[in-house]
Amino acid sequence: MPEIASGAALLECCQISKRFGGETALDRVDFELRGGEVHGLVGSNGAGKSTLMKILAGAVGDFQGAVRLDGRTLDLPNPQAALGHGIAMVYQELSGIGALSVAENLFLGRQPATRLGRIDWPAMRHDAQTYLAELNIRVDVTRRLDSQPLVIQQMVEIARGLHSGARVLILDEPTSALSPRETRRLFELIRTLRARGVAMVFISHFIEDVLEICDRITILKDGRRLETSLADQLDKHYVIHTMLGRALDRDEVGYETGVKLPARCRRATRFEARGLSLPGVFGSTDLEVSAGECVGLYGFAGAGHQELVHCLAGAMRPGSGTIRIEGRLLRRGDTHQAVRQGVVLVAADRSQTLVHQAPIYKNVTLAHLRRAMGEWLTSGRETSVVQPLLRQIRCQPPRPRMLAGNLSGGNQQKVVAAKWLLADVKVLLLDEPTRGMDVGAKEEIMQWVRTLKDQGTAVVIASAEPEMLLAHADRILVMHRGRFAHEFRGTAVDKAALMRYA
Amino acid sequence: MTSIHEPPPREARRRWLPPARDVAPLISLAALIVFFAIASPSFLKPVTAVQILQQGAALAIVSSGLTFVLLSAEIDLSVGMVALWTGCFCGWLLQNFAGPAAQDASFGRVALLILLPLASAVLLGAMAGVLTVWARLPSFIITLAMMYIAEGSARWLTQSETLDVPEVLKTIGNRGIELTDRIMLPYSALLAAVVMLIGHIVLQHTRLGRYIYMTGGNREATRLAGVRTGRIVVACLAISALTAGMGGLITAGRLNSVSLDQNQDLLLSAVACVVLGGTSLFGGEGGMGKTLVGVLTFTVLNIGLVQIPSIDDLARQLLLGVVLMAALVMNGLLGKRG
Repeated sequence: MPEIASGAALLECCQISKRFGGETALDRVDFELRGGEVHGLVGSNGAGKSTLMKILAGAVGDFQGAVRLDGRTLDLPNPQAALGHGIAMVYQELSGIGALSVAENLFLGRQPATRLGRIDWPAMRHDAQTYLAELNIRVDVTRRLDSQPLVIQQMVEIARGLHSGARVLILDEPTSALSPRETRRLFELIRTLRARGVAMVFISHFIEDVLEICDRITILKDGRRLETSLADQLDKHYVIHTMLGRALDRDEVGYETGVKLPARCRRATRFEARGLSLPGVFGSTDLEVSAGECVGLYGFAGAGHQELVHCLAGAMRPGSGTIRIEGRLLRRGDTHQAVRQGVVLVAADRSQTLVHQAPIYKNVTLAHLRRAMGEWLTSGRETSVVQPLLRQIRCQPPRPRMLAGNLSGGNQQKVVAAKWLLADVKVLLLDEPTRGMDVGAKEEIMQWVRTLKDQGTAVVIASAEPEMLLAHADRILVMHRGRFAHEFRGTAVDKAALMRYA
Repeated sequence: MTSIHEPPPREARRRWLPPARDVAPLISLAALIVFFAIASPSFLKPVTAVQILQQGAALAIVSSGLTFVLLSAEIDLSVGMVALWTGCFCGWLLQNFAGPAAQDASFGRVALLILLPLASAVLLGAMAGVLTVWARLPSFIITLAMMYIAEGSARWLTQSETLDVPEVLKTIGNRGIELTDRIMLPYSALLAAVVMLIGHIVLQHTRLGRYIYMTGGNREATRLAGVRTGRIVVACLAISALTAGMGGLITAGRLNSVSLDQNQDLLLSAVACVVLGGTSLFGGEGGMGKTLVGVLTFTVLNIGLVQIPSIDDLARQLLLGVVLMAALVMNGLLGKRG
C-alpha cells in the first residue's frame, strides 16, 4: 500500500478484527484519521464499514486490536465511553427527539441549569442560537426539531456531538435522504468543521459525494482494508471496481451523460389513475402505465411522488380519484384487494416493510400464505418453499430461519422483494427501492425489476436518484410540489434536464 | 461478492437448544416448586396438584385469549369484567327463563344458558375490536371503556344480587374424573387443556395465527403485504372476550353462584401470567406454551404461599407481589442475555 505523507494521526485503529458467530466482519483492519481531515469509507454491504464505525462509537463491546487517540489506547465498552473520549457518531436513522425544540436537542442531556437546579431556558436558547450561528446554521432554535427539513435535523445532530466535545465525528450515510441542494448545505458545514480541525469519517454509498468532500478514501472489501488513497487520485469507476471486484458495464457509465428514451409505447394500458389527489401533498393527477412499461417519477423528497406511489398501491388513501387495473376499479386505501389483484408496493423504509423480529421465511410467505402453504403451516415445509426463492433473489446468507432483522440493509430489501415472487405481479410500484443499499445489491434488486418488466409487469418507480430512472425507465415524469412539472418521452434526457424541472 | 459458506457444525448443533429467553420462565417455575417443596410439607402431595389444576383452570383459559391480544400488539383491559358479565348474564337467564324446575332443564335449555352469555361476550369483544380499528384509538382506551360498560351492565342486570348458576357449571367447576378417591382430574382443567391446545394449534399452524404474530410484529409491514390487519385485531379482541366469558362461567360454577365481587383480580392476574410466561407486551413474540408456564408459576406461587403457615393473610399479598417482581426481573435479565 502506498504510504500517505505527513499530518499527525489523531485516531488510529490497529489490526481491528471482529467476528459475529461464524462470520468474520473485520479482518485485521488498520484505519487512520487525522485532525482536520474528512476521511471517506466505502465498501459493499458486508464489507465491514458499519462494524468498524460501531466499534469506534462504542456500540460493539469487544473486538481484537487497538484503538488509539493521540497515541493513548482507548477503552470502548459502551457509547458513553466513546463520547467521553470525544468520538461521536451520527447515525443514518437520526436520533434527535422530534417533539423537542432545536435548542433542547442541542443540549440533550446537558441542559444548562440555574443555581436552583432548574433548567435555564433563556441561556439554553441563547447559547444554542449562538453556537449554531457560528456553524452557519440559521434556524429558529425554539421550533420543534421535526418541523425542520431533514438536513437541518442532521446538522443539529452533528452540532450536538460537537457541542459535547467531540473531536471525531462519524457520519453514517449522511446524504442518502437529502436532495442535491441539501447535500451542498451539509458539505458547507463539513468544510467549516474541517477548517476547525474536527476529524470526520464519511461513510456513504454515493461515491460521487465521497469523492467530492473527502480528502482521503479507504476502501473495504469482505472485512479487509484494500486501499487508502488521496481522493484526488481516485475516480468513481476505479473505486467501484475495487469495491466490487468488477467494473461497471458500458450502460452504467452512459447514465452520466444521457440516455435516449424509447418511442411511445403501443401496448394496452394496464394500470391507470384519474384525478388522484392527496390534500396537502399532490393535486389532481392522472397516470397511465402499459404492460411491460416502466414509468419513472422523479422528484426531491416532499415533491409528492412517493406519496403518489403509496396511494396507487392502496397503502395510503387518496382524497379523491379512481384507480383501475385492467379496467377493474380498485378500492382506495385497500392493500388487501390491491395485492390480490397483483398490485404490489416495495417501499423505501424497511421498518415499514419488514417484520424484523420474525424469521426470514415468515416474511417471505406473508403476502401469499395460502398459495404457498395451503391451510396447515409447518416450519419444515415452509422453509423448503422459501429456500429456492432466497437463492433466486440472492439473499446473503440464504438461511430462512434467520431473523430478518439480522440481515444487512440490502439483503433485507431482497427479502422484502422476495415475497412477491410467489405470485404474478401485474403492477410493481417502487418507492426509493434501493435507498441505503450498496452498488452490488442495488444492481441485484434492479435486475429483479427488469426481469419482471420483461415478463410484462407494469412498473412505476419513484426515486430521487436520476441514475436509477435513467437506467430503467421508458418514460420519466418529474414531479414538483405535487404536480407533474414535465414529462420526458421519446427524447434524450440527462441528469441535468431532470434536475432542472424538479 | 462474498462467497456463501456453510455455518460451522457447532452452530448447527446450537440451533436446537432454546434461547435463554425461553428457558428463563421454566427456571423460575422450577425454582418456585423446589422452594415450596422444601418450605411446606404438604406441597408435594397430590391434593396440592389437584388444587393447582382447579385454581389455575379459569385463569389459564382467560390468559390464553389474552395471549392472542397481546401477540397482536394490543391489550384487552376488559377481560375481568366481561368474565363477570358473562357469569351474571347466565345467572340472570337461569333466574328468569329456566322455569321452576330450573336445574332439571333440558339439554337444549341448558346449552342456551351457556351459549347466549358466551355469544354476548364475543359481541362485546368484537365491538371493542371494531371501535379500536375504525376510530384508530388505542385498544387500551377502548377496552378500558368496555370494562366499565361490562361491569355496569352486570351490576344493572343483577341488581347487586347473588344469583344461582346452572348445575352443569357447578360440575365443571368443582368435579372431575375420579382417578382415586383422593385424586381427581378437574373438568375445568381438562377444558383449559383443550382451549390451550386449540389456541396453540391456531397460533402455530394456521394462517390466522401467522397473521396475528406478524400484525403484532409490524402492523404496517403486514398491512402492506396485503393482510387485513384490522380484521385480525377484531378477531383477537373477540377471542379474548370469548375466553374471558368462559373463565367467568367456570369461576361462577366453582363458587356455586355468581356475584359482583368475583373476577376483580382477574385482569391483572391474567396479564401477570402472560408476561411471566415470556410473551412480549409489545407484540409479535410469545405463545400458548409460554402462557401455560406463566399460569402454572402464578398458581403455584399463590397456592404455595397459602400452605406456609408462618405467613399470615396480610403478608401473603405483599409476598406475592415481591416474588412476582423477582420472577419478572429474572426472566427479563436472562432474556436479554439470550
